[in-house]
Amino acid sequence: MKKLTFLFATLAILSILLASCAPQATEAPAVVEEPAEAEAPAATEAPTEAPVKEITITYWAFGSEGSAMADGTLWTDWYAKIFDEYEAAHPGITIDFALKGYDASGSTLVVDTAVAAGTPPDVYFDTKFRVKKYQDTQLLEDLTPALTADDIATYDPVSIEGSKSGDMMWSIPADGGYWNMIVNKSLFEKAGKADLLPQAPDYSWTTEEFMAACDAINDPANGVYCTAFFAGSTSMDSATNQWLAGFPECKFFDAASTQYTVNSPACVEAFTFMHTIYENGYMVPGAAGLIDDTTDPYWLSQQVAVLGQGNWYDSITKKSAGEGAIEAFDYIFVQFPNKPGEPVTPAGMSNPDVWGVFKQSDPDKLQAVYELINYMQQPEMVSAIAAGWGKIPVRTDAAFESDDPAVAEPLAAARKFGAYDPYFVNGVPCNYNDVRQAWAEARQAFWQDDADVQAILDGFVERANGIVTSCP
Amino acid sequence: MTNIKTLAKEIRRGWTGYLFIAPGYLAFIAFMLLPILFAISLSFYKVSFNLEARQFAGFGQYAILFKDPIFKQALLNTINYTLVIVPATIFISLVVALLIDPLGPRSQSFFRGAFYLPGVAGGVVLSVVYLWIFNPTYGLMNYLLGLFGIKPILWLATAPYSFWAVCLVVLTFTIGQPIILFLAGLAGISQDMLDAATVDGASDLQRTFYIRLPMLRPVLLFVLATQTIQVFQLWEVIFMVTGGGPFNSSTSLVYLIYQTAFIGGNYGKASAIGVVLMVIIMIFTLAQLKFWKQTDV
Repeated sequence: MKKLTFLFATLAILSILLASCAPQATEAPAVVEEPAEAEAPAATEAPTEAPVKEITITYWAFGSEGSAMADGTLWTDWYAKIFDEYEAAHPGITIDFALKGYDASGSTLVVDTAVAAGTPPDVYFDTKFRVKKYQDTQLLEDLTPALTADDIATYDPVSIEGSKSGDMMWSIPADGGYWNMIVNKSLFEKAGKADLLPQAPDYSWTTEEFMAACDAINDPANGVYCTAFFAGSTSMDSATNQWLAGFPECKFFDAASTQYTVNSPACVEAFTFMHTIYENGYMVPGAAGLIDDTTDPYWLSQQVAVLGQGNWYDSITKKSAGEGAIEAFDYIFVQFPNKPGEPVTPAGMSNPDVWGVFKQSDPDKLQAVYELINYMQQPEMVSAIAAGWGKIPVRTDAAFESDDPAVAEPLAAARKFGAYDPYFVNGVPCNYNDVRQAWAEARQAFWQDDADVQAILDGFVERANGIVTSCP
Repeated sequence: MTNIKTLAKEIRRGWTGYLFIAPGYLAFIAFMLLPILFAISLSFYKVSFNLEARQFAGFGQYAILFKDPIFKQALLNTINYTLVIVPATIFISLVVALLIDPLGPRSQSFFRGAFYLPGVAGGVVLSVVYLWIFNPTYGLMNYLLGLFGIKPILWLATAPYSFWAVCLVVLTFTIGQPIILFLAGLAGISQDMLDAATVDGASDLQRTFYIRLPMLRPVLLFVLATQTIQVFQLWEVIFMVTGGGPFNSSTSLVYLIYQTAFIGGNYGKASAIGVVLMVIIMIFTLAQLKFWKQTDV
């Protein structure tokens, strides 16, 4: 016992010593003074005066070695070309670029470790929620000076507001996926039920029409399901949340009160409708254990007829068919079903890929970073990035082109009904990763027999609002 | 003070020896001891990615922890994993070893390799295989159940099946090493003793229960200790197969540490969970040591 006490005492003393040796706990570093009225120059403007200061900008984008764009070009090759051109036009600037992977659960271990070690990249390009966690710990710069007034005017206001905390623009969105529904038209044609699908020009349908189509196509005995959901991880929860767009009274989060309100009667109605899909057996079984990646094979092997996240399934279908891995089939984009009597569902755009900039101590470097970000968010550049990811640029003046009418036509229709953020209309609350975990658990409970919808949503709201309350 | 003087004297006397073991100890200090101490110190702070902005919280993180239902669930699950997987591993591997032991050298080599191979493949590879086996619509498991007229089970989507699914995956790769150890232990038992028992009229079952098993006790205790520690640190299978779900029914303490630190960014709370886990394992290990001493193994 004496030895044990000695051991614990030694451990305690050493821990205290180690803690005192670690960097002093301080207030979060103050925001670096913003340079006045930073008008970002064009990439081709090469400074000609005075000797230039050598600046190295570390730029990390999500992905891993071998990650390829939709057309097969390696992201590393694309970025190398872009940055070579940029460096040539900006003497003194060197961009140290790397792709840093993250895992399917949404972890950004490499970046987290670098941040904790005090060596984060200068620029980080990743999805909004992953960048947001660094903002929660006051580690990011305000990017307002990186955009001109003309730039800001070209952004969808919903998206730009979602990148702000108060007046601080902690990120700049580049591209995002419009979460249209995608329908395997071939399956419906084979079943002689194509007339049940939404038609041009709006490609919209009501929840009742959706259920009728579901009933017609669902054939579990032959391994064909109407649709699929997944809740096994936090990833792509927007695919579920997008369904709420058909129930306009339902708000996942109330920006005015900064409270989660997804347990309101309108939301309960929406989720009760979704649970009917489960009860009728219209969806792939086991949603509580499936993740987005495990849903892909069902779509590619034509075992599921209708899915959200249309852009994603469009890109993987084209890729797999191009590689000869699957037999090509026809599909179309349609709107999410709306409750009868409600307007056509707006297209969802959520969790875009954004740029974030970690705190800088050198004002010259910060200015150089602003200029780089401004260069990267120009229309041609975001068009290329969006095309590479099979997504759509956030800037409204950036071209979105698709030579596939099944995609282009309904997307054009979707854009005319506006954009819908399946989460927030005004910024993202802090500690959102904790909330997403709570939401994944709530959805896992929801995709069970005899789920008590109201109780599950109440439980989530209580937990999520508790997390928001604990914010600094 | 006297102890320190004695230690210094010892070091002076055998400095070459200490020089040889120094690299190992330095590595231990740098990569084990210091991180452990740092984690202990972090558990007393409210801290996220920005370590410099940490705030001292005393035992605050521990207070939060013991009120947290997810932590309690993870703790309970971890204990349940240990209670299921460790005895099952020992039982299966012991039975397999006893069955392999009488075989010829070639057959023994084949079975040793066959049972050890899943362990070489590792938890991640096996988890991917099991994701297919447990798939609700085209998985092998439900196909086999269907042959007996049993309704498909949503292995990864419903509690408590997700818990049992994790146990099954883990058992696939944990039995290999104990089989090798038990076979080595069995090979070390004197054939003369077994022959004498045969002459005395002991059956094979009696020789197993009264000679082989008692003689295997040191190996048994070693396997028990290492397996328990291994199961307490269960992580990759949960990460790959269930993600801790549904609604935390299959999460473990180590998986909760990962989620809390690297998804939630709450390093302070994650460190507190780590410290609790360390204390649990330490208590268990000390109990093991005491038991070993008492049983004179």
